[in-house]
Amino acid sequence: MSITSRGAVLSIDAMFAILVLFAIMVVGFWQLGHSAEKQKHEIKRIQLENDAIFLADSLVKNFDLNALLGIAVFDVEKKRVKSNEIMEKRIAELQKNPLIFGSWLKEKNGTQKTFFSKNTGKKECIAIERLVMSEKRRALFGVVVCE
Amino acid sequence: MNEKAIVFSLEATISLLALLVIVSITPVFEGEGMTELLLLQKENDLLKVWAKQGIPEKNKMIQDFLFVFPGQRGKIVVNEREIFIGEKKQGSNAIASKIIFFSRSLEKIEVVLIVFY
Repeated sequence: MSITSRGAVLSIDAMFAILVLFAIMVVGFWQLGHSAEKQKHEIKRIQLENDAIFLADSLVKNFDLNALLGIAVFDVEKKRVKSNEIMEKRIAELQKNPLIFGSWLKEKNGTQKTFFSKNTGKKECIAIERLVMSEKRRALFGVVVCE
Repeated sequence: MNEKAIVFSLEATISLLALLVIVSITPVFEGEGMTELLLLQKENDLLKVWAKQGIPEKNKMIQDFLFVFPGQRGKIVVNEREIFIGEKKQGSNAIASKIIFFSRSLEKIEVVLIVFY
């Protein structure tokens, strides 16, 4: 670049370098925006996974009159909750929970009983299965949790 | 122009800028999520059910394992007797849980459940 009485004159090399600089800056900012978007999506997915895991865990480990807080069996005689033993008849009550979009019990012989299944639309969802005992039978208790 | 100033060649300028861009690219955090916690919870479920309903025979244990962890490899150790599920492979990550309980005849039973992932 040389300074003349008419102003700065760019050589082709300098002009080319400036164009490359702009191109690199554009790519750099695009990359930053893209990675920020990816990061946001990843954090959202992990948050959803956390919610689903803790929700399913709470359901099979707690007893409450409000089924949304736990559907485990309560042993009146021993005055304690029997974790991982659930009351099948209370599963349908879970559809009141706005985060839960579906629930089922899958047995070892392959039979699956779906209690409810709501339309998830375009929501991102995750399904979690936990081993439970229902009426003394082993089954996988599944819930679909959406954002 | 000042003769004493640093003069960058075009190549040097481009290289420096490219370096700047590479350095400024934020690495995307790709967490593994809570997969390990879920595996641990499921291991505990299986051990709890076995403790409540009694330790089944070897084949039933394998069936139970594959029911809870379909397609996964693992190892069950019951009182130091090892049962492998799937092929033995080195270099996998593993999550292990152990339960010790007493049967109705007061026999001590120790079960270790390992899931490779």
